[in-house]
Amino acid sequence: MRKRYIIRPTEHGQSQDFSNLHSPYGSVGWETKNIKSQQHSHKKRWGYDTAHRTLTSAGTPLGIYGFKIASGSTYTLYLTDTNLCKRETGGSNTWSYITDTGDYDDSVLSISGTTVTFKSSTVADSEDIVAGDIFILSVDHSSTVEPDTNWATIASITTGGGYFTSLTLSASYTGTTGTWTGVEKDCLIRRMYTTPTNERWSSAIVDDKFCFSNGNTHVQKYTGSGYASALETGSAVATKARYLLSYADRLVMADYGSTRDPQLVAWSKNGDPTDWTDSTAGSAALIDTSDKIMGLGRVSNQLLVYMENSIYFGYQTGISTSPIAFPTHSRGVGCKAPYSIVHVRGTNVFLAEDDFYEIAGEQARPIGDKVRYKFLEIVGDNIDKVVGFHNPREHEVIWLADTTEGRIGLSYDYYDSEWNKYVYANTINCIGEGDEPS
Amino acid sequence: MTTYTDSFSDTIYLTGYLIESAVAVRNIAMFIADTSGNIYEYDDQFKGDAGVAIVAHDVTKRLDFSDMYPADINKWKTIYGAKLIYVDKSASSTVTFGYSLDGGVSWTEESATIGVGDGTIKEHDFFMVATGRHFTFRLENDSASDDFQWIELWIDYEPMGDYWSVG
Repeated sequence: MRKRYIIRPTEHGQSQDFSNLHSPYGSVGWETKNIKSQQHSHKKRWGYDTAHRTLTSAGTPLGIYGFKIASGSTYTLYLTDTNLCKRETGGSNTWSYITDTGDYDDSVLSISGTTVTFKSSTVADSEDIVAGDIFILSVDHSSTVEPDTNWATIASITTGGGYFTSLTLSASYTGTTGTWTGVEKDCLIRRMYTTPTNERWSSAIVDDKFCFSNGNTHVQKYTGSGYASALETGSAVATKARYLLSYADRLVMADYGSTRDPQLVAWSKNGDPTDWTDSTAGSAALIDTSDKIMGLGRVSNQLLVYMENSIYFGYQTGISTSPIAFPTHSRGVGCKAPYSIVHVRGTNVFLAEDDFYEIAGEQARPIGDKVRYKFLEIVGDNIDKVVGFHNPREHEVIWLADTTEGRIGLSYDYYDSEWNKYVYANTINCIGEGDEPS
Repeated sequence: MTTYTDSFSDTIYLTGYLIESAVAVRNIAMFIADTSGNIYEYDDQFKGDAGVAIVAHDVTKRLDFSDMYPADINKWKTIYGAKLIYVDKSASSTVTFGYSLDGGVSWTEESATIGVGDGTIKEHDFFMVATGRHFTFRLENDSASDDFQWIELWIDYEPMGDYWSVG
C-alpha cells in the first residue's frame, strides 16, 4: 500500500539541536543554504545588485550608516579601516572622503617629482600629520568624484622651526607641478585612520553629530558638512574609545583612554557629546570582576555594559552630577564577540561564549538552541570576530562569521525565531542602511 | 422648511505647519559591502549576488519517514514520486529535485522549468523509482534571475520488507 510522506519545510529552518534522524519534523539539514524561512515556506534569500559604489582606494569597508540630522538632511556614510566616506549623488558623482582632513590655504610653494615644498610657517608640525597620510593640491581635487587619482601618499615629513618645510611623497605627484612663489597653492592632507586588527568602528548619533571611534583614534564627529574631526580640541578625554552609545542625551563610551582601560565607562555632558569635563559628565570603573568590557547596549531605559562573563545594567538617577548608576550586575552570561551586539525590537541580541542571547528585562535569554552546537563547532576560535547586523526590512539579524566552512551569514529571523545559513558570492564584510540609490 | 443655498469657497494655506517642516519620508535601502570595497544594494528584487547565481538549496535531514509512519522505521521503502507545492514567483524558474540513498554522498537529480510568475500556488511532479531505508531530499534553485519559494514536498512511497542483519 502506497503512503504519502509530507515534508513541510515551513515548520523550521536550521535545527541542529537534535541528532540527524530524530530532528524536528520538517527541519532542514545544515547543508541547506541561501534559503529563508518565512510565512511557513522557504524562499531564496535576498541578492544584491552590481556594485553601487566602489571604495577600493578608501580601504576595507567595516560599516555602512544612515545619518539623518534634525534639519532633515540625510547622508549615507561608509567607514573603512582607514577612512570615512560619504555617498555623493547626481551627475557623475560617486562618493567623497570626509575623513579628518587638514585644509591649508596658500601653503604649497612648489612640487617637483616626489617633493612638496611649503611656504614658511603655513603648516604647523603639531597638525598630527604622519607618514602614510594623503596629500593633494586643492586645484587637482574632484571632491565628489572619488577616487581622485591625484591623491598621493606621504612617505616622510621634514620640519623646521615648528612648521613643515617639505613632504616627500611615495611616488611622483600626478597632478599640477611647478613653483608658485607669491601665489602659493592650497592643499589638503587627509589624516588616515588606523583600525586595530580584528576591531571595528563603533558609532552613535548624539546632538546631530555622527560620533565614531575604533579604539585607536580620538573619538571623531561628523556634522553633515566639511570633514570629520576630533570631538574635542586640545587634551582629549574621548580618545581611543572602543565602544560608543547614545544614552540619556549623552554620548557614552567604554574601554577608552590614551592607554585604553577596558573596565572604564564614561558619559559626556548632558546634550553635548563634545564636553567631557562638565559637572554633568562622568565615568565609572566597573571593577567587581576581572572581566573586560565587550560592548554597550540600550534596552528600554537601561544602559547595558557587556563584560566577558557578566552584564551591568545602568539607569538614569535623575541627579545631574551623577546621572548614571549601575545597581545591577548580572553574572554568568556576558558577550564573547564585541561587535555581535545588535539592537533590535527594543532589546539586544548578542553572542556569548556558549550561545546567542536576547536581553529580556534584566536577564539574558538564550535564543540559539537550534544552531548553537553546529555554530560553535565550526566557528571555533573565530568566535570573538563574529559581527552582527540588523536588516529591519527582512526582520532578521545576520551574524557574519569566519568558520571552517568559510565566511557565512547566520540569519536569525525574529518574527519566526528561525535560523538560516547564507553563503554570499563575495566575501561580505558589513551590512547597513542608507538612502535609496538615486 | 428652509433651504439654504448660499456657499463660499476659500483656499486654506498650510504654510508653517508640519506638512512643510523638515519631517520627510525617508526611503531606506539596505547595502552590503565586500572586503574589496564594493558597496552593493541588498534587496529582494535582486535574485543573484552581483549577477552571480545564488545557489539556494534546501536539503532535508536524513529521513526514514518514521516521524509520520512509526511502523516503517525499519523497513525498506520504494519511492515513486515527489510532488512539489510551490509559489509561482518567476516565469521559467529552474528547479532541480534530487534524492540520495546514502546520506547525501551521491545524488540522483531531475530538473524542471516551472512557473509563469503569476504568484499563485502550484504543483509539479517529479517521478522516480528508488529503494532504500533512509532518504535525503534536495531542492535547488541555482540562478541569478529566478525567484523561488516552496511550501511543501510530498513523497509517495511504498513500504517493503523489514531490514534484518544476520551475523
